[in-house]
Amino acid sequence: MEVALLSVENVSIYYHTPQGETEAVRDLSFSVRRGEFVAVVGPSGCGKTTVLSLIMGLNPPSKGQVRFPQGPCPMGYMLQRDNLLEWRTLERNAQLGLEVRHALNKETKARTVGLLQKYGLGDFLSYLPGQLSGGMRQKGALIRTLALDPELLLLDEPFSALDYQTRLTLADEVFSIIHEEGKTALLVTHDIGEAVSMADRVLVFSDRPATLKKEILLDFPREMTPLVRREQPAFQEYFAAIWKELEK
Amino acid sequence: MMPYSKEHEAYLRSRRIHGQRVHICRILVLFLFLALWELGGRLGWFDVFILSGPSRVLAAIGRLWAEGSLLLHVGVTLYETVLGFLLGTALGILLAVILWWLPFLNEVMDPYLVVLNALPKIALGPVLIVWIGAGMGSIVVMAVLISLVVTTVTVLGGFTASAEEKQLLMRTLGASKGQTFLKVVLPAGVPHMMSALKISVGMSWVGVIVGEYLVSKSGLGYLIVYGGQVFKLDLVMASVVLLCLLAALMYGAVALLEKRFQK
Repeated sequence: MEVALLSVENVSIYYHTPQGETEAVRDLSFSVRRGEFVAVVGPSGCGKTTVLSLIMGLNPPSKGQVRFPQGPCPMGYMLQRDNLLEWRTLERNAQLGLEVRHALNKETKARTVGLLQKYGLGDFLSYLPGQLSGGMRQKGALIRTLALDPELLLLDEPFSALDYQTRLTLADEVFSIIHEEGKTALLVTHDIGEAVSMADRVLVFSDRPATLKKEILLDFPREMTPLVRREQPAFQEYFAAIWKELEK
Repeated sequence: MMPYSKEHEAYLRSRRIHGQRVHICRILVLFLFLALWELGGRLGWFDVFILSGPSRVLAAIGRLWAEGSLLLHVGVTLYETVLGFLLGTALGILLAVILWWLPFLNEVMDPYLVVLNALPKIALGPVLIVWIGAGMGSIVVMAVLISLVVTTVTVLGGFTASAEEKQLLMRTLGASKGQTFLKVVLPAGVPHMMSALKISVGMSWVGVIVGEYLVSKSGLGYLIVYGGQVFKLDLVMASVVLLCLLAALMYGAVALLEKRFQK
């Protein structure tokens, strides 16, 4: 079997507040292979985001460990809201990560502009975020993440702040971008349809403390986009299966 | 460009007319006020010795000019205010930066900041005179004190409230604290700094005038106190009118600065 890119092993996480101790995650294990698109679904507040910040290294596990068996893995994090800086143009927003890492040069600049152009934002380079639509802003945020050329993308409910129609079309675009750029992705969402339409594999989390309840492999042709997937009979079956699992 | 529809043109016209009306009425209010003030005095509705009048105010300003002391008094007060304003704002922002940077210190200092903010700084006047001496130093320090604390509180509030999620984003990009400050917190705090500037412009005037009431041999505050003591109400009113003009000018300058930053 192929060596995993990311391996979460027997992780438990406790939260400490003056009111007491909360077990957010209990004995969680899963792995992600290179090039895979994995979705995590679970009830709201079940600790999905905690798992992403754990992988990102922003908060340490109380027990267990996170390993990258293939060596250090550059990661990009996409948040629920785009958080574009209102005083920077789209182009300069997309370069923010490069600036922070002192990696801004002619080459990386051209690459970032190339990404913006390739994914339909070429005409808006000098626009401020306030002049862009919600979908464009979130796409800009994705490109800001991609500009650092991460291997693994951590997507934290990246579509949930958008209206329904934008959500569907943007999911389609983001799916294509991630496949085209050959990235590995871990998507956290409470939207079952989103998970089924985008992922290769869905991990169903339990209510807090989060444990892995079930793992569901999705058997769709690789090139089939989310919008087409939604029209397949299998989509409904997977949806129902995950729904039932969450209800339990 | 497409020609506008009739309805839109009518809308634009009504807006323009509305703007003109407001403008005209503003001027009218000022004119009416001055006319009533002048006429009331001349017709004997009130005693001009107590309430003065526009022509007497102008005459008083003219006398100051003839004596050659008008520019001295205006200059002294303006100099003290601008100095107090700049120092107070700069120190206030610096303090806010330090407190943002060191959350522990911020937490420790919080109750002291609250008390200092609530304290009428004017109460420190006599202390300042003893410490610094009866002169311009005390006046400027008074202006600095009054604008400093309010600037710190306003700007610090802006810094800490500014976009926690954006700060999280910076962490996911691997930014250091300094980078987060320079690229997110500081620019996001600009509007708060601008409103702090606007508040502290007014505060510096208060500080300077109070300072001049307590110790001074020149300046508009001195003229007001002096005029009051010798019952030259024309001089008092003239000084107040001059203060109005200067304060409005300085506020206008800050508003202009804000506009430039908003671009």
